[in-house]
Amino acid sequence: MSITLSRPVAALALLCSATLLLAETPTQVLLPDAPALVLADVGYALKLPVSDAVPYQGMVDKDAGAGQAGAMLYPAFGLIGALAAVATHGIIVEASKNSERSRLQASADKVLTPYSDAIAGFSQRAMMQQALDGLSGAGTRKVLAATEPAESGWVIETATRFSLNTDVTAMVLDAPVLVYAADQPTEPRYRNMVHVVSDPRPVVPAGEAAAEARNLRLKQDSIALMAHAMQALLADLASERRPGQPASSDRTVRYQEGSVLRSERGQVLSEHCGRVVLRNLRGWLMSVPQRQSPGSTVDPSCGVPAAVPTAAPAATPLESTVANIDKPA
Amino acid sequence: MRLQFAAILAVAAALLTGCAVAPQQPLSISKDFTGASTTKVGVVMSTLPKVDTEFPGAGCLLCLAAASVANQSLTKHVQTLTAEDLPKLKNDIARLLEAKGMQVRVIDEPLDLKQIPKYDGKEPNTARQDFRGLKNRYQVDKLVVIDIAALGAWRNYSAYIPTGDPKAVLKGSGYIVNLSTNMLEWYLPVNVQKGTDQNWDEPPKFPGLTNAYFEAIEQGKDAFSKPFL
Repeated sequence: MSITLSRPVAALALLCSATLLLAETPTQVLLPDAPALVLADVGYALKLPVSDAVPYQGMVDKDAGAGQAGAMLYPAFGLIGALAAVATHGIIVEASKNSERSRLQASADKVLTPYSDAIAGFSQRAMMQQALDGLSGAGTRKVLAATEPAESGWVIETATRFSLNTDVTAMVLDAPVLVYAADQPTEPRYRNMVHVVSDPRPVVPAGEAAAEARNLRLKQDSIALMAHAMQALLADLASERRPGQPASSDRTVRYQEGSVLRSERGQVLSEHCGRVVLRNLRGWLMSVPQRQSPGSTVDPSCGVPAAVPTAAPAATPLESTVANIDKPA
Repeated sequence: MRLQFAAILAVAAALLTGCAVAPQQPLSISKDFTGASTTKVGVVMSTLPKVDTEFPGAGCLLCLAAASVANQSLTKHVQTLTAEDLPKLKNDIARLLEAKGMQVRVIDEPLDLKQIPKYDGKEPNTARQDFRGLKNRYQVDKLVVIDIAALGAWRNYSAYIPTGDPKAVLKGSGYIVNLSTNMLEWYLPVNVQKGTDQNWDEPPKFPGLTNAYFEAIEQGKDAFSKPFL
């Protein structure tokens, strides 16, 4: 049975139809205009998160779970009944969406089962120390515990969350970062999220015989992603941001996330050593593998990427990096 | 009375028959298409739709009004997005066909499909519109048509209640029409939906969903181009 509602009821219905989901607060990007800060030469301390365990999760397919479209007939037990019906419908749908999200995440997390021993024995300190050891620069670098105060210099606070896709061909690191002077911890110089996508990972054979190789690969890839994150962060801090400096044009960058071709819209900051570093539409730093043309190889001497140029590049017309359709491998 | 009843029955049967047209099934590119190097092929795109939002499932007028109000800032932002380099897709496809040794002509002017008359062909894989008149206009034997029907962001609703997050959408179809016989030699429906892995509700610029929109465009271009690789 359909119902006809008056204007005040329509307004109340609109209120009830608003989404009930509380949005997760995203990282608030803080990129103030500031002179270049070359921490690689000045030195810094990397502060560990409170928990020493390195968190891993399965990657959920973001294109799934659009929900079903469909009409709904509400019972007409007068005005109060109609509003109650709409509100009840909203609660049921919300619960269903949350349940679906949990189910998808639980299903995605099954990819971590073969790695449970490796994950249990892997500490943040070990991972970050090995990542720092691989970086170049004249300044001293040290790792601090979460409760250990920095006496002087610059401090980088970060946390890490690694995600593995279902066929284990890609690993992604999400690392919120905060940079401040040791004597001014409440006045951050820089705050951002760093998102790093691994180079496509070869498929490691399943089974007990390959477990040791699999676990070692997981740790090595985690350390490499952390090193890429630090490289991108240090390069961004080393770039000077001037008031009124025009930003370069956005363009769509295509990259391989395991076996899936993805794209990201943003400003390209550097293309070096098989990696593309860009600032996406949220202002986050992203480091993704560069699409290689057939036959090309990355220079084996590649180390830290070149410093970000301080002058803004000339504006270019909006263009996709896909000028030619690549033949599938 | 009997005559009136028979007339009503006949009208009802005609109407119901009209509703029973089977949708066109996907059709692979026929070998005849790429085999003849003397065939002149035109590549054209239909007029691109306005980039906009839609709320499937918000069927009643009040539901639609509620959905529109609730997603006002999203709609306002989505309507500022451009089709990027989607119009160049016909040039990309033309290059692929030329690489196969075919004679190709890119039709720069968008094709207004609403101006093409309907065609009631009895045989399967017949174009639903009569493209035969384009043979003289474009001076080609076959026509590759890329029709983008919808572009923007869609959010599914169940009456007043959103059942999921908005997704960036590119919907359309690609087909090759033989302009002599009006038969289809390729048909591909394309339906790309991309979500954001983070929170989508970030007004006023909705960066996550905007990124998903450009991802949908890239994936759509790949889908249309892949059969010609």
